[in-house]
Amino acid sequence: MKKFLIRLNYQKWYNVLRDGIARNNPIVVTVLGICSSLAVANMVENAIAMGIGVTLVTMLSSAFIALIRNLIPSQVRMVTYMVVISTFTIVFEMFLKALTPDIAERLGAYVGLIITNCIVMGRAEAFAVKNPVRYSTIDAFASGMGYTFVLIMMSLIRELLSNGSILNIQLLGENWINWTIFAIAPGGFFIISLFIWGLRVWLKYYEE
Amino acid sequence: MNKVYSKMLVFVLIMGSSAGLMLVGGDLLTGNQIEINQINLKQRTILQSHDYDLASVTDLASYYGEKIEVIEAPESYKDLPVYFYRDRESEDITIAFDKRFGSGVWGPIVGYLTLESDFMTIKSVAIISQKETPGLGAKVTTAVFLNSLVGKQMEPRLVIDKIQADTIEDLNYVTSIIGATRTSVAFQNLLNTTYGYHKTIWED
Repeated sequence: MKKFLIRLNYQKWYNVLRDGIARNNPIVVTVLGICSSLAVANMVENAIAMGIGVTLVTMLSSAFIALIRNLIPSQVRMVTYMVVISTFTIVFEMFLKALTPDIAERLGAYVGLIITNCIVMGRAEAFAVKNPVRYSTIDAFASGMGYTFVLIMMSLIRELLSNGSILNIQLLGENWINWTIFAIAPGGFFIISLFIWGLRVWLKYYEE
Repeated sequence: MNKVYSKMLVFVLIMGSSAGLMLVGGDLLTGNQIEINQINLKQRTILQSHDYDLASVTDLASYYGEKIEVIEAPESYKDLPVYFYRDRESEDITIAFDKRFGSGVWGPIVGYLTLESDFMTIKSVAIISQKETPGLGAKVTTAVFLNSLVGKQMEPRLVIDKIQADTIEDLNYVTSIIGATRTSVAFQNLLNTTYGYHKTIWED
Protein backbone atom coordinates (compact mmCIF):
# COMPACT_ATOMS: atom_id res chain seq x y z
CA MET A 1 0.00 0.00 0.00
CA LYS A 2 2.81 2.38 0.98
CA LYS A 3 4.67 1.54 -2.24
CA PHE A 4 1.52 2.18 -4.24
CA LEU A 5 1.06 5.62 -2.62
CA ILE A 6 4.71 6.57 -3.25
CA ARG A 7 4.40 5.45 -6.88
CA LEU A 8 1.18 7.44 -7.16
CA ASN A 9 3.07 10.61 -6.29
CA TYR A 10 5.12 10.20 -9.46
CA GLN A 11 2.13 9.71 -11.75
CA LYS A 12 1.28 12.81 -13.77
CA TRP A 13 -2.48 12.16 -13.74
CA TYR A 14 -2.46 11.90 -9.94
CA ASN A 15 -0.54 15.17 -9.51
CA VAL A 16 -2.86 16.94 -11.96
CA LEU A 17 -5.89 15.63 -10.07
CA ARG A 18 -4.52 16.55 -6.62
CA ASP A 19 -3.48 20.05 -7.73
CA GLY A 20 -6.88 20.83 -9.20
CA ILE A 21 -8.78 19.79 -6.11
CA ALA A 22 -6.38 21.11 -3.43
CA ARG A 23 -3.14 22.93 -4.29
CA ASN A 24 -4.62 24.91 -7.18
CA ASN A 25 -8.20 24.90 -5.99
CA PRO A 26 -9.95 27.37 -8.35
CA ILE A 27 -11.81 29.25 -5.62
CA VAL A 28 -9.40 29.08 -2.69
CA VAL A 29 -6.04 29.48 -4.40
CA THR A 30 -6.57 30.99 -7.85
CA VAL A 31 -9.72 32.89 -6.75
CA LEU A 32 -11.69 32.09 -9.92
CA GLY A 33 -15.43 31.49 -10.16
CA ILE A 34 -16.15 33.74 -7.19
CA CYS A 35 -19.19 35.48 -8.75
CA SER A 36 -21.13 32.30 -9.42
CA SER A 37 -20.10 30.77 -6.10
CA LEU A 38 -21.50 33.78 -4.22
CA ALA A 39 -24.71 33.67 -6.25
CA VAL A 40 -25.56 29.98 -6.06
CA ALA A 41 -23.93 28.69 -2.88
CA ASN A 42 -26.81 29.68 -0.63
CA MET A 43 -28.65 26.36 -1.08
CA VAL A 44 -26.97 22.93 -1.12
CA GLU A 45 -29.02 21.61 -4.06
CA ASN A 46 -28.07 24.66 -6.13
CA ALA A 47 -24.40 24.13 -5.27
CA ILE A 48 -24.52 20.47 -6.33
CA ALA A 49 -26.29 21.30 -9.60
CA MET A 50 -23.91 24.13 -10.46
CA GLY A 51 -20.89 22.02 -9.52
CA ILE A 52 -21.95 19.18 -11.84
CA GLY A 53 -22.68 21.61 -14.69
CA VAL A 54 -19.35 23.43 -14.40
CA THR A 55 -17.40 20.17 -14.11
CA LEU A 56 -19.01 18.66 -17.22
CA VAL A 57 -18.65 21.78 -19.37
CA THR A 58 -15.04 22.31 -18.22
CA MET A 59 -14.17 18.70 -19.08
CA LEU A 60 -15.78 18.86 -22.53
CA SER A 61 -14.26 22.26 -23.37
CA SER A 62 -10.78 21.35 -22.15
CA ALA A 63 -10.83 18.03 -24.02
CA PHE A 64 -11.92 19.72 -27.26
CA ILE A 65 -9.41 22.58 -26.96
CA ALA A 66 -6.62 20.10 -26.19
CA LEU A 67 -7.64 18.13 -29.28
CA ILE A 68 -7.35 21.13 -31.62
CA ARG A 69 -4.58 22.93 -29.68
CA ASN A 70 -2.05 22.69 -32.51
CA LEU A 71 -4.49 24.23 -35.00
CA ILE A 72 -5.57 27.29 -32.96
CA PRO A 73 -3.85 30.52 -34.13
CA SER A 74 -2.58 32.27 -30.99
CA GLN A 75 -4.18 35.60 -32.00
CA VAL A 76 -7.70 34.17 -31.84
CA ARG A 77 -7.30 31.65 -29.06
CA MET A 78 -9.47 33.56 -26.56
CA VAL A 79 -12.30 33.88 -29.08
CA THR A 80 -11.93 30.18 -29.84
CA TYR A 81 -12.27 29.31 -26.15
CA MET A 82 -15.39 31.45 -25.91
CA VAL A 83 -16.98 29.82 -28.97
CA VAL A 84 -16.16 26.31 -27.73
CA ILE A 85 -17.35 26.98 -24.17
CA SER A 86 -20.57 28.68 -25.31
CA THR A 87 -21.35 25.92 -27.78
CA PHE A 88 -20.84 23.16 -25.22
CA THR A 89 -22.85 25.02 -22.60
CA ILE A 90 -25.80 25.55 -24.96
CA VAL A 91 -25.71 21.96 -26.26
CA PHE A 92 -25.44 20.68 -22.67
CA GLU A 93 -28.51 22.77 -21.76
CA MET A 94 -30.46 21.42 -24.78
CA PHE A 95 -29.78 17.79 -23.86
CA LEU A 96 -30.52 18.46 -20.22
CA LYS A 97 -33.91 19.97 -21.14
CA ALA A 98 -34.71 17.10 -23.48
CA LEU A 99 -33.54 14.16 -21.38
CA THR A 100 -33.94 15.32 -17.77
CA PRO A 101 -36.45 18.20 -17.76
CA ASP A 102 -36.82 18.07 -13.97
CA ILE A 103 -33.11 18.63 -13.36
CA ALA A 104 -33.02 21.29 -16.11
CA GLU A 105 -35.85 23.13 -14.36
CA ARG A 106 -34.03 22.96 -11.03
CA LEU A 107 -30.81 24.25 -12.58
CA GLY A 108 -32.69 27.10 -14.24
CA ALA A 109 -30.45 30.06 -15.01
CA TYR A 110 -27.33 28.39 -13.64
CA VAL A 111 -26.62 26.49 -16.85
CA GLY A 112 -26.36 29.77 -18.77
CA LEU A 113 -24.10 31.15 -16.06
CA ILE A 114 -21.53 28.43 -16.79
CA ILE A 115 -20.45 30.36 -19.92
CA THR A 116 -19.30 33.23 -17.72
CA ASN A 117 -17.46 31.04 -15.22
CA CYS A 118 -13.78 32.02 -15.25
CA ILE A 119 -12.69 28.49 -14.31
CA VAL A 120 -13.71 27.06 -17.69
CA MET A 121 -11.68 29.59 -19.67
CA GLY A 122 -8.93 29.59 -17.03
CA ARG A 123 -8.29 25.86 -17.46
CA ALA A 124 -8.41 26.17 -21.24
CA GLU A 125 -5.76 28.90 -21.27
CA ALA A 126 -3.58 27.60 -18.43
CA PHE A 127 -3.62 23.89 -19.19
CA ALA A 128 -5.65 22.48 -22.11
CA VAL A 129 -3.94 24.53 -24.82
CA LYS A 130 -0.54 23.09 -23.81
CA ASN A 131 -1.37 19.50 -22.86
CA PRO A 132 -2.81 16.36 -24.43
CA VAL A 133 -6.50 15.44 -24.23
CA ARG A 134 -6.10 12.87 -21.43
CA TYR A 135 -4.38 15.17 -18.92
CA SER A 136 -6.52 18.16 -19.90
CA THR A 137 -9.67 16.17 -19.13
CA ILE A 138 -8.28 15.07 -15.74
CA ASP A 139 -7.22 18.64 -14.97
CA ALA A 140 -10.70 19.95 -15.87
CA PHE A 141 -12.35 17.26 -13.75
CA ALA A 142 -10.10 18.12 -10.80
CA SER A 143 -10.79 21.85 -11.07
CA GLY A 144 -14.53 21.16 -11.34
CA MET A 145 -14.38 18.95 -8.26
CA GLY A 146 -12.36 21.55 -6.34
CA TYR A 147 -14.96 24.16 -7.22
CA THR A 148 -17.84 21.83 -6.33
CA PHE A 149 -16.27 20.93 -2.97
CA VAL A 150 -15.93 24.57 -1.87
CA LEU A 151 -19.41 25.39 -3.19
CA ILE A 152 -21.02 22.55 -1.21
CA MET A 153 -19.12 23.37 1.99
CA MET A 154 -20.14 27.04 1.72
CA SER A 155 -23.75 26.22 0.95
CA LEU A 156 -24.00 23.84 3.93
CA ILE A 157 -23.21 26.72 6.30
CA ARG A 158 -25.23 29.34 4.41
CA GLU A 159 -28.39 27.25 3.99
CA LEU A 160 -28.28 26.14 7.63
CA LEU A 161 -27.96 29.70 8.94
CA SER A 162 -30.28 31.40 6.45
CA ASN A 163 -33.04 28.76 6.37
CA GLY A 164 -32.37 26.41 9.29
CA SER A 165 -32.31 23.57 6.75
CA ILE A 166 -29.98 21.47 4.60
CA LEU A 167 -31.22 20.14 1.24
CA ASN A 168 -34.60 21.61 2.20
CA ILE A 169 -34.81 19.33 5.26
CA GLN A 170 -35.55 21.46 8.32
CA LEU A 171 -32.84 20.80 10.91
CA LEU A 172 -33.10 23.73 13.30
CA GLY A 173 -36.26 24.04 15.34
CA GLU A 174 -39.25 26.26 14.66
CA ASN A 175 -37.87 28.86 17.06
CA TRP A 176 -34.81 29.36 14.86
CA ILE A 177 -34.70 32.89 13.46
CA ASN A 178 -33.32 32.84 9.91
CA TRP A 179 -30.13 34.85 9.36
CA THR A 180 -31.24 36.15 5.97
CA ILE A 181 -27.94 37.94 5.42
CA PHE A 182 -26.28 34.58 4.73
CA ALA A 183 -28.58 34.00 1.76
CA ILE A 184 -27.39 37.17 0.05
CA ALA A 185 -24.00 38.38 -1.20
CA PRO A 186 -22.59 39.94 2.04
CA GLY A 187 -23.07 36.65 3.92
CA GLY A 188 -21.53 34.83 0.98
CA PHE A 189 -18.45 37.08 1.05
CA PHE A 190 -18.07 36.46 4.78
CA ILE A 191 -18.20 32.66 4.43
CA ILE A 192 -16.01 32.54 1.33
CA SER A 193 -13.38 34.71 3.05
CA LEU A 194 -13.32 32.37 6.03
CA PHE A 195 -12.94 29.42 3.67
CA ILE A 196 -10.13 31.01 1.69
CA TRP A 197 -8.34 31.93 4.90
CA GLY A 198 -8.82 28.52 6.56
CA LEU A 199 -7.87 26.44 3.53
CA ARG A 200 -4.85 28.58 2.68
CA VAL A 201 -3.55 28.16 6.24
CA TRP A 202 -4.16 24.41 5.97
CA LEU A 203 -2.44 24.21 2.57
CA LYS A 204 0.31 26.58 3.78
CA TYR A 205 -0.32 28.75 0.72
CA TYR A 206 0.67 32.36 1.37
CA GLU A 207 1.04 35.16 -1.15
CA GLU A 208 4.31 37.12 -0.97
CA MET B 1 1.94 38.03 -43.10
CA ASN B 2 -0.91 37.39 -45.52
CA LYS B 3 -0.44 33.68 -45.00
CA VAL B 4 -0.88 34.10 -41.24
CA TYR B 5 -4.06 36.11 -41.71
CA SER B 6 -5.40 33.66 -44.28
CA LYS B 7 -4.78 30.76 -41.91
CA MET B 8 -6.51 32.67 -39.13
CA LEU B 9 -9.48 33.50 -41.34
CA VAL B 10 -9.85 29.89 -42.47
CA PHE B 11 -9.69 28.71 -38.86
CA VAL B 12 -12.31 31.25 -37.72
CA LEU B 13 -14.63 30.24 -40.58
CA ILE B 14 -14.23 26.51 -39.86
CA MET B 15 -14.63 27.06 -36.12
CA GLY B 16 -17.72 29.24 -36.56
CA SER B 17 -19.30 26.79 -39.00
CA SER B 18 -18.54 23.83 -36.74
CA ALA B 19 -20.07 25.59 -33.73
CA GLY B 20 -23.12 26.54 -35.81
CA LEU B 21 -23.50 22.96 -37.04
CA MET B 22 -23.22 21.62 -33.49
CA LEU B 23 -25.94 23.99 -32.30
CA VAL B 24 -28.24 23.18 -35.25
CA GLY B 25 -27.58 19.47 -34.74
CA GLY B 26 -28.30 19.76 -31.02
CA ASP B 27 -31.53 21.60 -31.76
CA LEU B 28 -32.62 19.01 -34.34
CA LEU B 29 -31.91 16.17 -31.92
CA THR B 30 -33.57 17.73 -28.89
CA GLY B 31 -36.12 20.30 -30.21
CA ASN B 32 -39.08 17.91 -30.57
CA GLN B 33 -38.44 16.25 -27.22
CA ILE B 34 -38.18 19.63 -25.45
CA GLU B 35 -41.55 20.63 -26.97
CA ILE B 36 -43.14 17.34 -25.84
CA ASN B 37 -41.65 17.82 -22.35
CA GLN B 38 -43.16 21.31 -22.16
CA ILE B 39 -46.64 20.05 -23.12
CA ASN B 40 -46.32 17.19 -20.62
CA LEU B 41 -45.20 19.61 -17.91
CA LYS B 42 -48.20 21.86 -18.57
CA GLN B 43 -50.68 18.97 -18.51
CA ARG B 44 -49.08 17.41 -15.42
CA THR B 45 -49.05 20.73 -13.55
CA ILE B 46 -52.72 21.45 -14.34
CA LEU B 47 -53.80 17.93 -13.32
CA GLN B 48 -51.79 18.12 -10.09
CA SER B 49 -53.31 21.55 -9.37
CA HIS B 50 -56.67 19.76 -9.35
CA ASP B 51 -55.35 17.14 -6.89
CA TYR B 52 -55.17 14.27 -9.39
CA ASP B 53 -52.71 11.53 -8.48
CA LEU B 54 -50.62 10.79 -11.58
CA ALA B 55 -48.55 7.94 -10.14
CA SER B 56 -50.43 5.23 -12.06
CA VAL B 57 -51.23 7.26 -15.18
CA THR B 58 -49.60 5.84 -18.31
CA ASP B 59 -51.21 7.96 -21.06
CA LEU B 60 -51.00 11.50 -19.73
CA ALA B 61 -52.56 13.21 -22.78
CA SER B 62 -55.72 11.02 -22.73
CA TYR B 63 -56.08 11.36 -18.97
CA TYR B 64 -55.74 15.13 -19.28
CA GLY B 65 -58.43 15.27 -21.98
CA GLU B 66 -60.69 13.08 -19.89
CA LYS B 67 -60.41 15.22 -16.74
CA ILE B 68 -59.87 18.77 -17.99
CA GLU B 69 -62.05 20.85 -20.27
CA VAL B 70 -60.16 23.60 -22.11
CA ILE B 71 -62.27 26.72 -22.70
CA GLU B 72 -60.96 29.34 -25.10
CA ALA B 73 -61.67 33.05 -24.60
CA PRO B 74 -64.14 34.58 -27.12
CA GLU B 75 -62.95 36.12 -30.41
CA SER B 76 -63.27 39.64 -29.01
CA TYR B 77 -60.28 38.93 -26.71
CA LYS B 78 -58.02 37.58 -29.45
CA ASP B 79 -55.47 40.38 -28.93
CA LEU B 80 -54.51 38.75 -25.65
CA PRO B 81 -55.81 35.19 -25.98
CA VAL B 82 -56.25 33.11 -22.84
CA TYR B 83 -57.62 29.72 -21.88
CA PHE B 84 -59.55 28.40 -18.90
CA TYR B 85 -58.79 24.85 -17.78
CA ARG B 86 -61.88 23.56 -16.00
CA ASP B 87 -62.03 20.34 -14.02
CA ARG B 88 -64.97 18.38 -15.46
CA GLU B 89 -65.84 16.97 -12.00
CA SER B 90 -65.25 19.73 -9.44
CA GLU B 91 -65.59 22.66 -11.86
CA ASP B 92 -62.53 24.30 -10.32
CA ILE B 93 -60.73 26.49 -12.85
CA THR B 94 -57.06 26.94 -13.66
CA ILE B 95 -55.73 30.04 -15.39
CA ALA B 96 -52.19 30.67 -16.58
CA PHE B 97 -49.98 33.59 -15.57
CA ASP B 98 -47.01 34.58 -17.73
CA LYS B 99 -45.01 37.56 -19.00
CA ARG B 100 -48.05 39.06 -20.74
CA PHE B 101 -49.49 39.96 -17.34
CA GLY B 102 -46.36 41.06 -15.53
CA SER B 103 -42.93 39.92 -14.50
CA GLY B 104 -40.78 39.01 -11.54
CA VAL B 105 -37.78 41.12 -10.54
CA TRP B 106 -35.31 39.49 -12.97
CA GLY B 107 -37.58 37.93 -15.55
CA PRO B 108 -40.94 36.32 -16.20
CA ILE B 109 -42.63 34.11 -13.64
CA VAL B 110 -44.74 31.49 -15.43
CA GLY B 111 -47.25 29.22 -13.78
CA TYR B 112 -50.86 28.34 -13.03
CA LEU B 113 -53.39 29.75 -10.58
CA THR B 114 -56.19 27.33 -9.72
CA LEU B 115 -59.38 28.76 -8.28
CA GLU B 116 -62.32 26.99 -6.71
CA SER B 117 -65.62 26.95 -8.61
CA ASP B 118 -66.54 30.34 -7.02
CA PHE B 119 -63.73 31.80 -9.21
CA MET B 120 -62.35 33.66 -6.20
CA THR B 121 -60.82 31.29 -3.63
CA ILE B 122 -57.32 30.01 -4.35
CA LYS B 123 -57.13 26.23 -4.57
CA SER B 124 -53.46 26.08 -5.54
CA VAL B 125 -50.65 27.98 -7.23
CA ALA B 126 -47.94 26.27 -9.30
CA ILE B 127 -44.87 27.88 -10.82
CA ILE B 128 -43.12 26.19 -13.74
CA SER B 129 -40.41 28.75 -14.45
CA GLN B 130 -38.91 31.87 -12.90
CA LYS B 131 -35.63 33.80 -12.88
CA GLU B 132 -35.60 35.25 -9.37
CA THR B 133 -32.51 35.46 -7.13
CA PRO B 134 -31.53 31.96 -5.97
CA GLY B 135 -32.14 31.52 -2.26
CA LEU B 136 -34.18 34.74 -1.99
CA GLY B 137 -36.81 35.60 -4.60
CA ALA B 138 -36.62 32.05 -5.94
CA LYS B 139 -38.31 30.96 -2.69
CA VAL B 140 -41.49 31.98 -4.52
CA THR B 141 -41.50 28.38 -5.83
CA THR B 142 -41.24 26.72 -2.40
CA ALA B 143 -44.14 24.67 -1.09
CA VAL B 144 -44.12 26.71 2.14
CA PHE B 145 -44.84 29.95 0.30
CA LEU B 146 -47.22 28.51 -2.32
CA ASN B 147 -49.22 26.64 0.33
CA SER B 148 -49.64 29.90 2.26
CA LEU B 149 -51.70 31.18 -0.69
CA VAL B 150 -54.18 28.29 -0.54
CA GLY B 151 -57.59 29.31 0.79
CA LYS B 152 -56.91 33.02 0.30
CA GLN B 153 -59.24 35.08 -1.89
CA MET B 154 -58.48 37.10 -5.00
CA GLU B 155 -61.41 39.47 -4.38
CA PRO B 156 -61.19 42.43 -3.99
CA ARG B 157 -57.40 42.10 -4.24
CA LEU B 158 -54.69 39.72 -3.02
CA VAL B 159 -52.04 41.41 -0.86
CA ILE B 160 -48.61 39.85 -0.26
CA ASP B 161 -46.97 41.90 2.47
CA LYS B 162 -44.94 41.73 5.68
CA ILE B 163 -46.81 39.97 8.46
CA GLN B 164 -48.94 42.10 10.73
CA ALA B 165 -50.93 40.94 13.72
CA ASP B 166 -54.27 42.10 12.35
CA THR B 167 -53.79 40.58 8.90
CA ILE B 168 -52.89 36.98 9.77
CA GLU B 169 -56.49 35.79 9.59
CA ASP B 170 -57.42 38.12 6.72
CA LEU B 171 -58.47 36.15 3.62
CA ASN B 172 -56.74 38.60 1.28
CA TYR B 173 -53.37 38.78 3.05
CA VAL B 174 -50.39 36.50 2.55
CA THR B 175 -47.05 36.92 4.35
CA SER B 176 -44.30 38.02 1.95
CA ILE B 177 -41.03 36.14 1.40
CA ILE B 178 -38.43 37.25 3.96
CA GLY B 179 -35.58 39.08 2.23
CA ALA B 180 -37.42 39.23 -1.11
CA THR B 181 -39.85 42.12 -0.83
CA ARG B 182 -39.54 43.09 -4.51
CA THR B 183 -40.33 39.57 -5.72
CA SER B 184 -43.27 39.38 -3.33
CA VAL B 185 -44.71 42.63 -4.67
CA ALA B 186 -44.05 41.62 -8.30
CA PHE B 187 -45.76 38.26 -7.75
CA GLN B 188 -48.71 39.92 -6.02
CA ASN B 189 -49.17 42.27 -9.00
CA LEU B 190 -48.76 39.43 -11.49
CA LEU B 191 -51.49 37.36 -9.82
CA ASN B 192 -53.87 40.31 -9.48
CA THR B 193 -53.42 41.42 -13.11
CA THR B 194 -53.85 37.86 -14.40
CA TYR B 195 -56.94 37.34 -12.28
CA GLY B 196 -58.46 40.72 -13.25
CA TYR B 197 -58.15 40.03 -16.98
CA HIS B 198 -59.49 36.48 -16.75
CA LYS B 199 -62.34 37.55 -14.50
CA THR B 200 -63.57 40.09 -17.03
CA ILE B 201 -63.66 37.39 -19.72
CA TRP B 202 -65.21 34.76 -17.42
CA GLU B 203 -68.02 37.13 -16.45
CA ASP B 204 -68.65 37.82 -20.12
